[in-house]
Amino acid sequence: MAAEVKLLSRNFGSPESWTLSSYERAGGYRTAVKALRMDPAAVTEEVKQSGLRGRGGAGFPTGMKWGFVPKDSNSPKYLCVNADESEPGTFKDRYLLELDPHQLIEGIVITSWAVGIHRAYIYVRGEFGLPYHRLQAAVDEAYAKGYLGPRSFGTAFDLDVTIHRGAGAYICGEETGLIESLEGKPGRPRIKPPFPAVVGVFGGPTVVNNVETLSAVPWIIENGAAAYRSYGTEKSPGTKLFSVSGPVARPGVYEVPLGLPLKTLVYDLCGGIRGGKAMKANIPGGSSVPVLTREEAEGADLDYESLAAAGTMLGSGGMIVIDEETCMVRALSTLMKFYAHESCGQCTPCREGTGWLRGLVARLEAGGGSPADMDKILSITNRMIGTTICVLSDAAAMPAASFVTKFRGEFERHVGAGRCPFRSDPLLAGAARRQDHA
Amino acid sequence: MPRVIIDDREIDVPEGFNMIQAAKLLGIEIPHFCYHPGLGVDGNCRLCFIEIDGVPKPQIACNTFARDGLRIRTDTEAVRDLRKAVLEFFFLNHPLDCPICDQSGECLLQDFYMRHGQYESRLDLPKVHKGKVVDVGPRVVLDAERCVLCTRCVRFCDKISGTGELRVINRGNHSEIGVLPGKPLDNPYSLNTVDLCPVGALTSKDFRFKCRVWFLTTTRSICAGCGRGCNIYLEHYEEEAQRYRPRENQAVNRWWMCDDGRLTYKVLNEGRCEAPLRRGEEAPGSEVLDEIAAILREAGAGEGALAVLSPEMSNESLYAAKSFFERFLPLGKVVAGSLEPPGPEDDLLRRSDPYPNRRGCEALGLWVDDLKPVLARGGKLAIFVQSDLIDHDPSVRAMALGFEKRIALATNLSETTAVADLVYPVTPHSECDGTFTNFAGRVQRFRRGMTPRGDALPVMEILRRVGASSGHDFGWVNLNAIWKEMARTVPGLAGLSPAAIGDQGIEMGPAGGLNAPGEGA
Repeated sequence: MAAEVKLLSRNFGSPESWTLSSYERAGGYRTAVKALRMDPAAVTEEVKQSGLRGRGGAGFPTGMKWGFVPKDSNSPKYLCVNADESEPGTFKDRYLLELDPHQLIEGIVITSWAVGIHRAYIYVRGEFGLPYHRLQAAVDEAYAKGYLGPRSFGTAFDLDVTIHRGAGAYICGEETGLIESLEGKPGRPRIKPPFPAVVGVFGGPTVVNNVETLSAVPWIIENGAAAYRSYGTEKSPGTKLFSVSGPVARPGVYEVPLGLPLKTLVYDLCGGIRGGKAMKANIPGGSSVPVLTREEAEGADLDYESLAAAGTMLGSGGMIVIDEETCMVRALSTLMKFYAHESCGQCTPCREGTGWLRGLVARLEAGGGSPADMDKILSITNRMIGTTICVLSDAAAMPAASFVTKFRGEFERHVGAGRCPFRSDPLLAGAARRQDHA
Repeated sequence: MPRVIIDDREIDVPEGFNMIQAAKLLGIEIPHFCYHPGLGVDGNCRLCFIEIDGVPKPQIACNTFARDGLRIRTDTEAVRDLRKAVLEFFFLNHPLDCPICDQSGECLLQDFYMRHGQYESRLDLPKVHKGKVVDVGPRVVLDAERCVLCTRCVRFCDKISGTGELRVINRGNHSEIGVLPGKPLDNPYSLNTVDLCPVGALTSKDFRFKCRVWFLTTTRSICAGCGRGCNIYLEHYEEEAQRYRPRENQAVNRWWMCDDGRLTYKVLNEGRCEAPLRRGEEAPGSEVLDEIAAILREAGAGEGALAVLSPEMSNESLYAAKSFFERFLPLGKVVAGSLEPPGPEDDLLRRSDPYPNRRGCEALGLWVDDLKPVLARGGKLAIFVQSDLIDHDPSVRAMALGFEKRIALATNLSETTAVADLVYPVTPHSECDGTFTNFAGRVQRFRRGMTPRGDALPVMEILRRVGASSGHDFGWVNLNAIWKEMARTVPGLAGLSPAAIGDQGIEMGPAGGLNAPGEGA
């Protein structure tokens, strides 16, 4: 469809797109060869000019992040590829790993060259089976061809790439939690400063980049910053992969230029809500960002600035569409269960706050609780935002606060009715209650 | 030194200080659990929020380091609100079992709630339950529900004892401290985790449920368990010593002490020699002192008299005994030594020398490495002062019996007091003032905490009285009196006084040591 712009996902439809031969047939790895002949500083500069921002969720300018790595470090520098994609609603890195792992490897080669790194780790989410196997096969192929290992592409540049599989913890997607886990420790985020660019893996300066971010690097170096900037908006240049889930006609991964109206993605590309129902709410950037009402969502554009103006975030681009028949209390209850389960437990406001929210929302969903609980939830979330080492606490608090603020009526109806009004059968409601408390 | 401004008060603080330390210099308490100067910054408790001028959001004080011009506020509305908020989070799953919790009275969560919390409770969900009375090691018990997960204990075992037994297990609000199967918390320093624990999660098997802490009287003292001389608090209740706790001294023991040393308080309570004895029978003290004086007059003038002093004695006792015996046993011999085998030694604190004051004996020229040849000669009179030789080497009994008369001045009953004709009770370091000189030559004060047991007296007082009954006035009426003499006559103590030694001790002058000051200096 016309709205799509396939820069990173251009090979997704090719036969065996994950193999080296397929990738090279499409012109793959030529950019790495080109980059290795460039001045590393020029590579970084090109990425800076492109305005590429971190696609993992935080949206930090990528070139600037590379620039924070000290030039004169005595300890080895590292690249960590964050392939621990576990933000609920997000599955775009999975596609990039499954369908075009060589694009990522090429991005790793170029980035490592630009920053002066000789050892890269790819931290792959533990639950990823196929993505891991395809990625490992691709790395093996690249080694066999001499693209990785000593004298990469026949140059004097050495680069080793090691894949590390996580054990299934959301917190290991946080960059310092990832580093701890990679070092063999429990995934508990580190206090900052120092930031990973200064003290990261094994004490060395470390660049941590998301899969999608690095996958965008070859295209940018191949086609130039200006070409990349021709897509997207002034402040949010380029394209972004959105993974759309929920009751839309065609859920899936869509690469679109930033700034695309949200309506276009949901109603045109995804074919609107199934069964002719209405969209009630939209979580545009993965479960951690504030929810939008239908009105807010329909007025928003998909770029960093517009979504910030709408009171939410672009995040990872993991869009969860919620239709009119979905109980918002139940939806929030599911999210709160997730965050309480995934909090590492290190910082008090998060350890206790996520559990508290989970308990309160579950009680409301089951028809218990009191009208005062909504204000209590808002007060708790207020105390969880910005008070911890990492942002998991914020990530739990923001959906809770936005759900309760924007859909307060649904919460009040639960309290008033003593049960979930979206479940007509009281026996079923009871069963749900038992299940949630299990 | 960077100058920072805390609550509008300027202060110069040492480089590298964080804002918890800096505020403390001004007497301002910033509540915190996880930070400890000996364990560094962890940043997990989120209780120490402060506001920094020019920074929009409150920041944690533990990770905010002094720099010139830094201006912080510790008592703004935002800070007070955050403290309340975080304390409320702590209480969400904390059992309110203070009435049966052994930490009550010295619990930071209690203290902080009273000082910074005091909110209306709105906790109405069931609490998360975790392990109670978990046997984590031979000396420490864990109550996981009371734990605030500050990880001080974990970091102590990782960074200080280097043994790493404790871990945080599980995630989120199911996180708890624990040990791995078959790897109990059993290192020589394990009880420090109990001191570090801000709440009642880790308690000492030895101390728990013995005494409410608000009944304890605390005295600054020195551990007599080895040559290190860890600075401690001696705590007692109704004339029973209840526990030792380490007292910070960066030059000696930092914030720590070993488990063995910590449990040596028991000798202050058990097996004490409390009454003067004549051939094993209790006798009036004045009679025993007179008899000692009479024996000294008879036997002391000639040869064949021996006084055996002990490295357990204070500097004052050693000095008094040396002066006394040189006068009353002019042809006899005064030595100090021990037959106790060396104990364990490590790089942290423990010294193999099992006595607190060998250096004091050496400074007075009394130390003898091998006592046995001295004892084997026998003679008319042997006086054992705080010496329990026979207990450590039974073969010494026959040697002791080779003396015609035996006198013991002792804190505790022993095989040595059992062979003595006359025994007079002596106060241990918990019941008198005095000093020990540690292995590195640091002279350290201990203070009288408890009333002397029974008729026990300090050695110098016993000897002063014996001297008086023989017509000699030694003038040792108190610590300062004897120190005036010591500072004049003992090499290395020149210019020192109890006041100069203070609470942190002071190194002996160069003439006092046989060796150069060691690492503990």
